[in-house]
Amino acid sequence: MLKTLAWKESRELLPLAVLALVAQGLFFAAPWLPLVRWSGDRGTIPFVNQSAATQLLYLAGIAAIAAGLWQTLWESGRGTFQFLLHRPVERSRVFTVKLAVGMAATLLVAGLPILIYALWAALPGTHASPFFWSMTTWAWLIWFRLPIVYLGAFLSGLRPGRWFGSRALPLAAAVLVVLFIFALEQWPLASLVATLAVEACFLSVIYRVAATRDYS
Amino acid sequence: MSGDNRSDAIKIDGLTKHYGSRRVVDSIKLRVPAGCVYGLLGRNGAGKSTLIKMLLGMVQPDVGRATLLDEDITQLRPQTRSRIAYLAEGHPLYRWMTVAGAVRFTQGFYEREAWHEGFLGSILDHFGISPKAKIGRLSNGERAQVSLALALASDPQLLILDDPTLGLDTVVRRDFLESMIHLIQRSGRTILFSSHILGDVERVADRIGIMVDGVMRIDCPTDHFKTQLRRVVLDFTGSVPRFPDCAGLVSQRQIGGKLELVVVGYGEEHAALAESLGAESVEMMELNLEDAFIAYTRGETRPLPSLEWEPVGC
Repeated sequence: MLKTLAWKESRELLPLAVLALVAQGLFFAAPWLPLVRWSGDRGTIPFVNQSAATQLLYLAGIAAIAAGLWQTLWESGRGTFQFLLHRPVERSRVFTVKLAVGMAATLLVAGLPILIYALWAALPGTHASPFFWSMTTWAWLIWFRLPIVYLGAFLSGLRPGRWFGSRALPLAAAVLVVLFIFALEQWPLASLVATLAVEACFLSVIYRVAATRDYS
Repeated sequence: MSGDNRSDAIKIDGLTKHYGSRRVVDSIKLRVPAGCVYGLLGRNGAGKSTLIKMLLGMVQPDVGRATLLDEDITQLRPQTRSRIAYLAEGHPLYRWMTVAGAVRFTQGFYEREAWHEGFLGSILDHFGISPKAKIGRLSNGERAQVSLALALASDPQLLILDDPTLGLDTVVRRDFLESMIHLIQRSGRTILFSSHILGDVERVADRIGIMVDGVMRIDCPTDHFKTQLRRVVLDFTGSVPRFPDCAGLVSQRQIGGKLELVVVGYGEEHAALAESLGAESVEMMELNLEDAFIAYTRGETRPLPSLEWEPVGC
């Protein structure tokens, strides 16, 4: 049954993931495309001035928010939570699979373009600047924090709120927390622990809300 | 748990739910014996769906408790849930799936031996639904049929259907109900279904419950309800008085020089009151379930105006 659920969640997130990857691909390829005047990363040092990699991660962040909201609001809006949650399986398992697939999709959509960009940068002759894999560390640190944004969006979609402002509170909190964790970059271990702790907090609230909210 | 409890497929004790300050379900007490087909009636907003959603754990009750197949609704185990079929209002299914995909998806949650693939296939075949059809392209009626087929494939012991014919046109509704009755009625299977279409309930239910403003006002055998409720029309020559409040009086309304009452168990006390008001004549009529339901749930209405008209030469 977990396979069935995972298949359903993956299938529902697939169009979103493809769209995000295509958008990132177009963004990356834009400087080489005809009729596009934007110079992008051409002539700059990859992963040093952070322009292209940062933009790719911004796009991935938007995709993470969309994924979290998609998995919850879409299900609520269509009334399918009532179909799904009546299946003979614990509610916590349903949400575990949802979250696992959503987080995996978030990490994949954010990580794949960064990896491809780094591999491109590592190829000799592609740009006139040095490249070391250690230059990508900051990008992977951001990548590692993206699930917080996804979880914030998921909780915003799941948590019933009387008005949009209060409903968006978890997402706003997630974004603020991610920005706060940036301040801990000097202490990588503290940053790692803080990220995991915040994710654990979000997960615990999500499970509680999932168990106690009304699906009406 | 007592032996009496074991014979109840559904047992509700004081379930209450508030939305804000509004009490949408108010201290419902109800027992549905195993093997019973129970029709839950009520107007839109009466609290039927909320009650059903509470039973299935979709909505958390504020007060009260209930059991389904002897298990507390707050702790329904997956094994118990697999013996309960639930058709939610509007038949929500994943629109991007094909019918075959929806079958595969649903089947994935059940033990192989508990899933009756052949039976499901024959239901879909009966309804003329292609497994390759996309759910999103099906009509409301076809989606209802797919939902019913999926619900029955696990051979559930208890079926809970929330307004299963909502949004279906008359012909499809009739077909759907007939198929439903044919397919789901078998010895020992308990069915609770809500509806606001009385004809549907009348044909199917052994017992009915009527909810008005979150309160269960009636819970009795269908035939008993029909035989006990009477429409009584009192004719007056002068002004029409108000009928005094008394036991059994469901509603009263003035229509011109007549006072129309709906009374449960019209008896000597009512007859005496009618006489004391100076009614010239008393006419008593039976009500069909629809009339009885409307009378019971409509509440107080303003008097209908008399039409003053002068005949013209036409």
